[in-house]
Amino acid sequence: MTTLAQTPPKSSEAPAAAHHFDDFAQQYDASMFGMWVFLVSEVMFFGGVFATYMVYRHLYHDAFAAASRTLDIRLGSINTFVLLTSSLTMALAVRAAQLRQTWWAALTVLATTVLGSVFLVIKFIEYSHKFHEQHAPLFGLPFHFEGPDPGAAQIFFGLYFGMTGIHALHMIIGIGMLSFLLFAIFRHRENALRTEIFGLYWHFVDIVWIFLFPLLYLIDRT
Amino acid sequence: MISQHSSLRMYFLVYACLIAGLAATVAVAYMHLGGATIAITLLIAFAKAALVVIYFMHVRDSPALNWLAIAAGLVWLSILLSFVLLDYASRGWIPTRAPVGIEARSGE
Repeated sequence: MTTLAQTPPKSSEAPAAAHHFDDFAQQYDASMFGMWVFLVSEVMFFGGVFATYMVYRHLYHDAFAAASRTLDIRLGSINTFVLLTSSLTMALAVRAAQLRQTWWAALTVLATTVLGSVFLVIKFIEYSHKFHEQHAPLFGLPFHFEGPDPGAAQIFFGLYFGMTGIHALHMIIGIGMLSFLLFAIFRHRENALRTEIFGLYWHFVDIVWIFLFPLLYLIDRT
Repeated sequence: MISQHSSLRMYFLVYACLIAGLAATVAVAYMHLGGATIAITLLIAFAKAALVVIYFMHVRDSPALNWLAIAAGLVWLSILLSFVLLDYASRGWIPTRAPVGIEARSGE
């Protein structure tokens, strides 16, 4: 066999593909698909948590509504606003990276990182309020809830800390990745594909919060 | 699919819809709607999630394979949630004796 490997056409636009891909278009599609498969596995991970929430809310609806009313709706709404805005800046960062506007990309990634950090700071303030009110069924701390069904309220706050906790963990990982991305942009070792992949992760974490906010804060405010 | 970028106008429009959705979902929580509250709340949440997935995550311009991955995720998630809820919601529909173990514990 004397077939020579065909050299892929070199384009000044497309970045070099890794050696196991035919061309960059194939690498791009494979990377995006891989990220989507990962995100679907994340959907199933959070799905189990949401299923737990659903069962206990079905069993203890009134106690869940009462416990939900003690969460700070103002801080919760502000945090939702902050996170939705960070999704916008992330989308703008991906666009800037695709258009090779390095400074815009750096600025919007930085804005996303800052907004993500603001979210975590507000979350920390909310947590400390809950610890102060003895609404945190964690570390064997004393739990106290004024209401007809404190046991069910304890389950609600357990779910509250569990669900927002794993969400916050995803945020911390996301902020770490964005910091890495920012560093890479300044080192000029950045391509639009990586920004887009990181963006998918960030938007996914935003979507989880889109569901967490009404399910935890807004059960019944009437 | 590579380097396809959408207009700035579209991003800000989607963002405005998301903020409107946030305002709507908070407003619904304060209304006396009874059992409809959770349905409307989830509808708004799914609409917001769909906007993020389709526009911010560029699924609109994605190959069919990515759509397939997302659809598979939704199908398995709905199986997980609907069958778990079916179990708990249907208990007591048919009169049965309590399973062994439940009876003993309820006597405590």
